[in-house]
This record gives sequence, structure tokens and C-alpha cells, in this order.
Amino acid sequence: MLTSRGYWFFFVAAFFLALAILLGSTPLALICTTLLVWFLSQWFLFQLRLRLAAGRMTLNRVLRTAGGEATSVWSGQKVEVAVTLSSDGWLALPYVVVTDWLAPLARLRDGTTCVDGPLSSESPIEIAYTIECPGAGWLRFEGIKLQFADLQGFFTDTTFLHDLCEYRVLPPIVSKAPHVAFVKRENVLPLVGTHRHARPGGASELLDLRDYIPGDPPKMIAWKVSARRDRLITKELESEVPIRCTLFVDTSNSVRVGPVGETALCRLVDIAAGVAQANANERDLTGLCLFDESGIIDYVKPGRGAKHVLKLIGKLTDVANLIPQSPRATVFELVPVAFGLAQDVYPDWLSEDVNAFPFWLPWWAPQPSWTIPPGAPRYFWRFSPAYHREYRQRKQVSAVLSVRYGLGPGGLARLLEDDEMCVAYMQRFLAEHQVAYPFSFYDGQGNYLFRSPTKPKMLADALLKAVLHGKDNELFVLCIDALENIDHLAPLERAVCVAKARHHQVMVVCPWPVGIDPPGVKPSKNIAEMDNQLILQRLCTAQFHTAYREVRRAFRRIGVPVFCAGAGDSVSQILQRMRRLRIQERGVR
Amino acid sequence: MTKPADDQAPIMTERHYQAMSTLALSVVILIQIQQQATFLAGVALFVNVLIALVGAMAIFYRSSLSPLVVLIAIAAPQIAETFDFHNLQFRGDRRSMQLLDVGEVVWCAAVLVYFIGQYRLQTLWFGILPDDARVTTPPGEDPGPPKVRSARSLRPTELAALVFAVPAVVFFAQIAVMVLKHPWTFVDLEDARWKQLFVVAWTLLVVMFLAAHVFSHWRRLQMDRGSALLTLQDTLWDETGGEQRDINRWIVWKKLTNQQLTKP
Repeated sequence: MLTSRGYWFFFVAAFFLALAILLGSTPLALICTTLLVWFLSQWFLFQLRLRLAAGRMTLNRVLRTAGGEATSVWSGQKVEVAVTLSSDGWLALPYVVVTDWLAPLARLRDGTTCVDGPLSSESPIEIAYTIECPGAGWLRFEGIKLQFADLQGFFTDTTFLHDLCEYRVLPPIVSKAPHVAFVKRENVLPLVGTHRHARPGGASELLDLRDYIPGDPPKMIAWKVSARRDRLITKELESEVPIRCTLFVDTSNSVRVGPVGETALCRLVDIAAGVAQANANERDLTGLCLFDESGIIDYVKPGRGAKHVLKLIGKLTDVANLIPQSPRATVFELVPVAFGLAQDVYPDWLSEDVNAFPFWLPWWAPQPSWTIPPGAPRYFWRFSPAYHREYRQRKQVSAVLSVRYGLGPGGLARLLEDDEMCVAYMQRFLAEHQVAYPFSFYDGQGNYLFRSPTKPKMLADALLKAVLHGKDNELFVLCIDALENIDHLAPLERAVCVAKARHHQVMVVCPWPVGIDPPGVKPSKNIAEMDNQLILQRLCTAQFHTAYREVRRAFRRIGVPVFCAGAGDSVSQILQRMRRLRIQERGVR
Repeated sequence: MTKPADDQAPIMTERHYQAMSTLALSVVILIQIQQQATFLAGVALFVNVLIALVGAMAIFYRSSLSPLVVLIAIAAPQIAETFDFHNLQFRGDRRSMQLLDVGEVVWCAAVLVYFIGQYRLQTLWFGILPDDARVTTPPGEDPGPPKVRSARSLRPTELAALVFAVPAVVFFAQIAVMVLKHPWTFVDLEDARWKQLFVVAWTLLVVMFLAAHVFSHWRRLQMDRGSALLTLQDTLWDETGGEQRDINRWIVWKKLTNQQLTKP
């Protein structure tokens, strides 16, 4: 591509050459010819170098942590990324800007992702930087963006070297809960009616030694200790009644909104993973049920063991980075985002050679209003520059999507005319590349855009099914976004009542959107000092707080505690509740 | 972390280009003064002082003045001198041209070196790649690549290559001008100047057209599968776009109408 600098140079030199010839000035003609010959030779060399280097570049990426080279990392862990670009081309490239496509989940902590310099077979280009992941999920490195230029800045070319590398980011390890002293005052069996043990209490681990009480079985006497102390001592063994905990995690669109790695869903995944790890430490059983608006995505029966925990964490990691998809999204909103992504990752597919756009098309054949879905924003003037830009971007993005998803020869034309199909494919394109775009929670009339009336019913069915298969007293943790769904909570409340009637315990964790003050936090600024944006944010926060209070009230009525996942101590609250249940199960305190 | 050029002081800095440009500019001015000794001494002096000022501003004060201003300043006295030589008329230059005249060769080489140095300095100060509107540099922060070229990327080989490139280009340009001044007969134009212009324009167009097509073809040979599919798809869309548009618009209309009808 000729830059404006190159264009002006060529134009002025050619103009003066023509002038020199017409006016008969040989020295000037000589100067201008020299400059033009140099310009053309630079262009020729630039193109030659590019063509010779194409396909001969290789990329090597290594992630290092304190423990050495890593294939998976923990969230919150500092990771050094080293990228090496090498070329075995015949000619060196005089100037290359290499920009690593930073994984959306990663946050840059040190170094830079952009390095420039010459590239030859002897001198590779290296990029080194440090990242940190705020949440669990997948680190997706697409490759590197390469921008070539000559040393004068007359010619440039951009390409992307695709080298997809994915690394699993595991949720953070929960610090081990402080040891609880299970000091039994006396061996009291669990109350009849409260506990229905399906198996006898196994005694294998030594819990304590105490003085012999008449009636203790003789086999429990610790003879060696008794001999040492000269009185009878009885061994006490731990009761091995496991607690079963099933986590119901909401992965619907409402919890996916926000920056990648900092969504409410990531917080839920952290909580669920923390509970699973804490349970594993206590040798308890943990189950997992993932659901969204459409139904149950995945269900894992309660189990224990390292393999089971890894399985749970793997499933949680897979859903942690889900990108929201809204049926109400419009082409108007999505086209600039999708085009920006295509510019970054598929620059070759946007070049005029392979993806041309006739400039007159928006003027000649604008999209008729009868093919635009009702309610979607539209342009009323076909000569509007904004409409022209959107049409061009949509055409180029549609061509890319059509090829990427194999829509066939008619795919491009279909995507250009069908708004709904175009929106669906653009959302898929963005989701696959983990690109989040800002969604608003409320529409212009103040309606919650992620209201899902069917979600509580689905969760209720899943809960009843779990209760049906439940054995001992279990703990069901419902991580559900029930905000603004208060009118549709009745089926879920009934299911919870059934669970409680069967002596199970239920608790609700309410995911909280990022960037909104959690309940109980007082706003810092006086409303008089705020601008419109802050006032709107304050109103939105107030609306969320009201909805949260209603959900809390609804569940309090049936004796179910509700926690806010925005608070930092949600995991400890759940663990505390489980401990209480465990003590109750084991009959100790 | 690997920081290739941070550990050692860079061998080459922008000062090398500044020195090179200054030297070249000085040579240009000296040769111009020598060449224009007989022509309107006051005007020549004024022009050369102007060139020196513009050049110095661009080299030492990071002025964003285009080096093309210097070309204009060089061209103006040449045109005036031609005008004066031909008794205040513009005619074809009947003066003979000597191949590889030392003065002209050095002058051309100096102008070329000045342009090379000045443009390379501009890449270090004002940018080498076109601006990306989506990327903004916070005020007060030093813009690095891809905004401007980093000093770390400078290599001594850049200067070493000029030792061969500049004489080659100057020599080729001399040959080209000699060929241009040859009385061509294949163009049936009365005025020799228009004939020369025609030859230059035609040569430039043919050379650029052929080279561009060769590179374009080469690029297509190196295409990946996705780009090839895009090319085919684009060709089909270009040829049948109107028909596809009509069909799809009716399909969408039907779909939307059905949605409206089934809406409760």
C-alpha cells in the first residue's frame, strides 16, 4: 500500500519531471529522474522482499511461570510470555512492526506487545511481556500482526501470522480453611429424624483420646496409652459421613456481560471452584449443574477425588469466558466491533484484491426498509457518510464470515440482506475470538434486557431432580441471576420448599455485575456533583439494589439465605455454611 | 524477559542521519552556488539561504516540513535559470549533456542522500506507518511503535547499504536522461519536449503496470485457501450481485412478514 507520504513524493517528483521536460531544464530533469528511479527501486525491492518472505516466517510462543514453562496457568498468577518471530527468507525485511494479539483474558502487567526492527534469518524479533489473568477461562493467542514498511515510510503492508495457542487458566486456589477442632464432648448419635444415614458411620481416622466412660466398647480402649497413664483411655474415631454439595451455576447471557475475565460469571466460577476444592480437601462430594436460558448445559453427579475435582474445574473453565449473545443486538451496534476485529486478525481478507467494495453500491442499492427488522436503527438518507461506512464494513465483514463459516457462494449476499442472520454470525465470530462488546442492562423504557422467565422454572426442575436422587442431607447452592425475575420465582420457591422439607439445605448466590456497587456500599459522591453519566449509573445501581432486595425477601420467606457474589467473602460464607452442615451431620460442634 | 537492545547502547542513533542529511545539504548548496555563479547572484543566494534554512529546520528542529519543500526550492532557480538562458522563453534544452559529469553526479547524489536522510528522520519523529484511528497515545507519553519508529530498530547496515544504492540510482538516472534526450522517431509529435514527456509517461506507466501485475500474480500464487475462496466469492458477487440481492431481499421480507404474523 502506498502511504500518503509516498503518494505525495511520487506526485511531486513526477510533476517536476514533467515540468523540467516541458520547460527544458536538464538538471532538474536529472534530479527528478534520480528521485523517481530511487522511488521505483524502493517499491520494487519492498514488493520483492515481501513476496520472498511470505510463508517463510515462523512463530514460537512460550509461557513461563515461576515454576518454568507452562501449559496451563492459574488466575492471578504472573505469566511471562515470550514470542519469537523468525524468518528464513532470502532477503531481510528492513522494518517490521510485530504486535502480539494479546489474549482477551490477559491483562498486561509489564513489557510491551509491540516491537519493531529488521527481520532476517540471522536476527529474529523477540517480544517479551508479563501478563496476569483476572479470572478463569482460556487464554487464546491468535497470532501476531505484522506491519511491513520501507525505511522511508512510502510503502506499507499488513498481514497477520495465525498461530492459535490456547492455555487453560484455572480458578485460583482457595486458601485452606483453618483446621476446625472436632472435639467431641460425648458420642451422641445424630438425632433421629434430622439425619437419615444411608450407611453406617465408618470409623477409621483417630479423632481424639478421652477417659473411659462405662459403657464404651472394650475394643475402643487404647491399651498402650492406658498403660502409660495408668487409667483407661478410650479412642474416638471420626465419623465418615460425607456431605454432598451440588452447585447450580447460571451461565446465561445476563451473567456473561462485562470485560472478559471480569464478568459476574467469572466470579461464580471462582466461587464454585473454591467450594469444589474445599470439599475435596474435606473428602466431601461435589456435583455441578450448568444451565442457561435454553436449559441444562451440563450435569455432573456428586463425586470426590482429585480426578473429579479436575473434571469440575475443567467444565467451569470452559464456561467462564462465554461471551453474551443478545437477540436484540443490531447490525448497527455489531458491525464496527466485528470490522475492528477483522482489521486486526484478518487484514489480508479485507484487502481490495480479495474483498472489494464498489463505492457506489450504497447509493445505487441501499437496503430497503421492508427488509429491516422492526425496531432496528436505520438510515433515512442513502448518501449519508455514516451509512456508506457501515455498508462497506458490513459487506467486507459478511464476506469474511461467509468464507469462515462455509456459507457457500450465496452466503455473502444473504448476510448483506438478512439482518438477523448477520447479527447471529457476527456474535458467533466475536464470541469465538473472545471479544466482548458493551451491552446495556436496561432499555430506554427501563426494562431489564436479560429477563428470562423460563430460567427459574428450569432451575426448579433441575433442583427437584437432584432432590429426587439425593441420599443424605445435601447442600444445594443455587448460583442464579434472579434479579428482575421476581414475578417468575414461584416454581423455584416451591422446589426449594420441597428440598427443605426433605431436610436438605439450600442457599442462593446472586451474581453481581461488574462495575456496580454491591448492596450495602454507600455511594461516595453527592448527586449534585455528578455528571449525567454518573447519575445514570447511580440510577442503574439503585434499580439493581431494589431487585436484589426483592429476591432476598422472597427467599428469606422460605428460610433460604441469599448472598451476593460481588462480595469478596462469598466463598467463605458458603464454606462456613457447609461446615455447619458437616458438624450437624457428624453430630459434633 | 528478553530486551534485545536495551542492555547495550545503540550503535546507531538519529544523529547519524542528522549528520548525513546536513552533509548532503551542504554539498547541494555548495554545488548550486557554484553552478549558479553567473545567474542572478542575488536570487541564487536567496534561494540557497532559503534551502539551508528549510533544511536546517527540518534536520535539527524536528520540523514537520516535508523534504519536498526543498525540492521546490531546488527546482525554482533551475527553472528560472532555464528561462533566463533561453532569453526569457521556455524552449527545449539544446545544451548538450555529458554522461557522468562529476558536478551533476555529486549534486544528484547529495540531493538523494538528503531526501533519504530526511525521510528516515521523519519516520523516527513523526511516524512510519499510517495512523490507526483506534489507537490513541495518551498526552505526555512517548509514542513507540507502531506510531513511530523506535531508535532501537536502527541498524548500521541501513547506512552501509546506501554506499552502493545511491551511486547505482544516480548512474541509472543519468543513463535514463541520456536515453530521454535521444531524438526518438517512433512518436509522431512535432515538439521534442512533448515527445520526451510522452516517452517518460509511457515508460513509467508500462513499467509500473507490468511490475504491479507480476507482483499481484505472485501474491495470488502465494494465497492461502481462505483468501482464494474470498477472491472467488467476490468475483461471483460482483457478477451476480444484483440478482442475489433481489432474491435475498424477498426471502428476508417473507421471513419478517411470517414473524409478524406469528407474533402473539
